[in-house]
Amino acid sequence: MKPKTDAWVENHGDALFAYALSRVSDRSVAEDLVQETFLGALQVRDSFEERSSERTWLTGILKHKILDYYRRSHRGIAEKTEHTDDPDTLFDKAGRWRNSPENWGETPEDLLGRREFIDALRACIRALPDNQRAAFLAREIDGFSGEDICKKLAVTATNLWVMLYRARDRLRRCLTENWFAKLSPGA
Amino acid sequence: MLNCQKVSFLLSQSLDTPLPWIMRARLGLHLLMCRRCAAFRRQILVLTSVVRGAAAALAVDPGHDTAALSPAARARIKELLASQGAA
Repeated sequence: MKPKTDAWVENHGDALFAYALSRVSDRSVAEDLVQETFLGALQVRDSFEERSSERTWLTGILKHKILDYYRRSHRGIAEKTEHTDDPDTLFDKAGRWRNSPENWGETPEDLLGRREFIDALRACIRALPDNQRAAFLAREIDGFSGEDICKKLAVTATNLWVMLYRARDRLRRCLTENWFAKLSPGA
Repeated sequence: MLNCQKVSFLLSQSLDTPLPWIMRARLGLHLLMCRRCAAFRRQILVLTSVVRGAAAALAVDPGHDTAALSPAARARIKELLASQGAA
């Protein structure tokens, strides 16, 4: 008789794999994460209360496994100083902006309706250093609290704020260069 | 003293943790006087909105030809789960 866990793999394996791959970009790492997710789910399956769907429950476990992976694979991921990655480029010696951040001029609703913008955003996120991407996506998409991320990544609160600051700064500059500047080349 | 570099860091931090009220007041005053920091703040707020709004789209990467478990991985995982004594 087919084990019930076969149904888990059949029904959810590909979706979990796609999610993991969007985060780690390495097929074999993504496969391992899916395997760890199912193994973890097996251990706690009695606690699945069916308030959410099975897919949501498994995806929640996967999100934790992804952060565990980043902690294991990136020792010393903490970033300590409060500066951006390019403090000398962005700010003068007095800490003033050298150039003004641009007025993007588009609302989130406008932007979210364009597939090309989503592609540009995805590329900018992928270009982040691994530790910044892990922290940023855990915070903004996966909904982890700052405290939870600190525990999972074994960093202090200050380390986390620095990582998130640098991630946001890189992303806004990447989007400025790769999307907004290209919209109005003469501006 | 709050310069723009410090303000930019605090604006980001304020998205993740409440700042003391005195710091919020100082930030607010700086933003009233500094168009550049105000522009930075608008950028990171838009960034936050679009990333959260695009969460479902970002979870799938159309660049990967087949975002599916390989048959070998599928079989291996099934076997491993079955061997854990799952019913």
